[in-house]
Amino acid sequence: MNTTATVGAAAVLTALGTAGFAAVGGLFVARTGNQRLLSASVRAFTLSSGFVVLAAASLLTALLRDDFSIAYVANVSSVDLETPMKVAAFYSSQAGSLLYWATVMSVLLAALVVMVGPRMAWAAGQLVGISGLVVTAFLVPLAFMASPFRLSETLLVDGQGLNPLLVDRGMLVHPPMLLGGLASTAAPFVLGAAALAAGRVDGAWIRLVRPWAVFGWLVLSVGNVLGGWWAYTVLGWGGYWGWDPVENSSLLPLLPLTALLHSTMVQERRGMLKLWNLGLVFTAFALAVFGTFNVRSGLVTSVHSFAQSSVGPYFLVLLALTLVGSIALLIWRAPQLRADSDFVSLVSRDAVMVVNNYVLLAIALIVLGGTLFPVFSELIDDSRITVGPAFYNRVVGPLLIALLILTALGTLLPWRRAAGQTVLARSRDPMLVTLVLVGALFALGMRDPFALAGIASAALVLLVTAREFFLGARAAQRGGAPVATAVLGLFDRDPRRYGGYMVHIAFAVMAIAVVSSHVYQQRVRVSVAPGDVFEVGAYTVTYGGLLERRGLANGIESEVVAALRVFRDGREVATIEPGRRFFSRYPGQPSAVVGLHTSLREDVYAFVEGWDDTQRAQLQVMVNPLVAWLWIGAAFYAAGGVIAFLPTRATSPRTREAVAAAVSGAGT
Amino acid sequence: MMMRIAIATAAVLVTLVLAGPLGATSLLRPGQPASQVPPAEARAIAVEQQLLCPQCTNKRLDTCEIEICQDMRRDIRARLDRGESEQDILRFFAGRYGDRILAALPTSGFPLWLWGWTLLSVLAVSISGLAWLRRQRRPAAEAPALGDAEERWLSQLADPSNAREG
Repeated sequence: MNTTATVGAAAVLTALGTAGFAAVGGLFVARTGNQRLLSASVRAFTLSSGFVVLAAASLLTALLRDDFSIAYVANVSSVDLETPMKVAAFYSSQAGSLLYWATVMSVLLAALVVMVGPRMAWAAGQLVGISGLVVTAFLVPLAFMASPFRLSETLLVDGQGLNPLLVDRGMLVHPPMLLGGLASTAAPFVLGAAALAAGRVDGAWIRLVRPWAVFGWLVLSVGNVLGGWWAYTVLGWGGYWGWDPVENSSLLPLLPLTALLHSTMVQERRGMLKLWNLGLVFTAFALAVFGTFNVRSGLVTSVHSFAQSSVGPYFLVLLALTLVGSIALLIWRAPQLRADSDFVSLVSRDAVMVVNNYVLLAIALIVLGGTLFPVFSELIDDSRITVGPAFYNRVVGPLLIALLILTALGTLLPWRRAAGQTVLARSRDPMLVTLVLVGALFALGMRDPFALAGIASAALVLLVTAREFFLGARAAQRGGAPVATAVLGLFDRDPRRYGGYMVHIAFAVMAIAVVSSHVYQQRVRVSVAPGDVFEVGAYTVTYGGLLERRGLANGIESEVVAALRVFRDGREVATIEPGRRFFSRYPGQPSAVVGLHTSLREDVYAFVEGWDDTQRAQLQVMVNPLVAWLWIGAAFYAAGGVIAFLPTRATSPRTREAVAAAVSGAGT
Repeated sequence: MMMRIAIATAAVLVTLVLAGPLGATSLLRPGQPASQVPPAEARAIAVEQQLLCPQCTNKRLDTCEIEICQDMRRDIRARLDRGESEQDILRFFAGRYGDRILAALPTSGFPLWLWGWTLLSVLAVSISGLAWLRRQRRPAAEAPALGDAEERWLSQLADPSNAREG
């Protein structure tokens, strides 16, 4: 008997049982208000998440101990993998990634039930009941359809090893963040569904949902960027976002979550958009389930298809149930969804937030349509049409610019309403500077209209947001604080607002990087013999021949790289070594080794297409402008997100100022 | 007046700071110097960029390194040398692999449905957005006027002499 597998499988089953009890118990509490049953259900639910963690720990132990009598371990790992790669093998295939999903989700929901339950006593039963339902739904395939604890049929001394594409350090961060982000859309969903089921959709749930929504949004955003970074540094085609169906499915839930972070502010202030906000949390979760289904089912072919399997149909049913359930709940409680106040001035931040929501919704609809279109084309037209990047860039590009402009506008306008004069006065300086900037870029030779519009709108966001920091800091400075303290003090005083502004700045910086690297990429394809020299952009590259390396870890049999020396203005700036990596267990599947020299200005990016016996090599070398700013912007984005996630101080600023005044008064 | 001068200075500074590194990169140059890419090669690349890899997902032919793609690229060059036009070559590959090989979504036949969906999404969202905004404009007048008691209560709240500090 294999103890690890037995413990793991038993833990999954026990977790399923306890989560099921919590589901039934919670929903019964919702009808009867039985407090003893409530605390029993809450305990059962926390216990269930403990068992899911135990199952995850069992699988991890099996991987680290090379326990190939477990089929999953034998399929994804091997003796020669380094320990970090054995950890990454956890979620490298379907059953393991489902277990990872379930673990993140049940821990998060247990935290939600324990932390939020007492503050939401009017829906405590619904909260634990719906949490139990969701976790049960995800544990069913783990227990019965895709268990990671099945035993191998034959006794194996070594496993098959990790898929070559996944042998990379990036695998330690990108999938866990992305899957974790998808899984954490469950928390806002459960909160919204519980509030709706209890029939109370006023400001209370909106205030409670915020940290959970910010958490999911933040983790999912970081996961998406890390995915881009992985594609850029590992896949080796010179880009970071290919509008792959699975990339799209991980981007999709992010759109309603982003919309939600803005529209909840409107509900908090005005009591409006109740139905809308519920719709957004439901949509985000449904899209996350859709993403999981999309990866698992092989419905749409993708670079991520290695995780495919038979649980696809199950997730399709789950998706349908989520949608039907959400809609039914909304219809049942429709009478409670009337707005408290229903007037908003067109010239106000409130209105801009709503318009921004609509733009995000349009992007989501278009991306969803494009992602599913190949399926429809095959079903209906029998022609498997590919919807490539050209389509998305063309359609989403302008909407991205619209989002940037709305970001600037929303920052400029005050809540409630604004006089035309105020708007004019506030926007004059930033507009002026933007115009000068665009004029200068045009004069210097930039002609591409998309690049000009993108950079102009991003610059506007930067200027408008900088102005907010400047004004805020100046107000603080009147109190006598030095500049640095004044700016940092803003984050302390209103982390939500200034953290959000930081994310806006990062968004603009990333937009500039995306537009520039998209429009101004330079690329050459050369066939060179050792000693040849060629040019790309402002760089001169010399090819020194091929190098072969052996004796590498992680199942890599050998690595063949082209030695390239990169010069700029006669000075050597880097040596890069693009090539191929060959795996002993996957003979037909070499993976790419990217040659990359990064600078703040531009990246020199190279990959090898092929070579012959005389060491003549076919190379592609490109210059990608400003890509480093995408990663810098992303770091800034994450920092801003963390700041916005921090709780606002309980006391109101006015009280604190009064206290501060009283204290300083007492001191003199 | 001082304000204007400050703005103008700031504008120039920001422009220099931003345009400096941008100008130094290839951003402001309209493309590669013509001497670098022979015209025949440029034509071949232009064709490649309109095609996708028949095996990978969403990978453009000019960026794909697998064998089929290398063969296709050689084929494109041979066809151009024989005097075939860009359209001929695209049509040949579309005939062999189907329309899915074309990088740009065709604007005819079944793909029109996706264009329609896109247009519909934008339209539906715009219309419902505008309708929402219009609804916001109307109703202030329809809100029930405050009763006497409520007015008294409000003015009490607004009166600072009634404020109680805790």
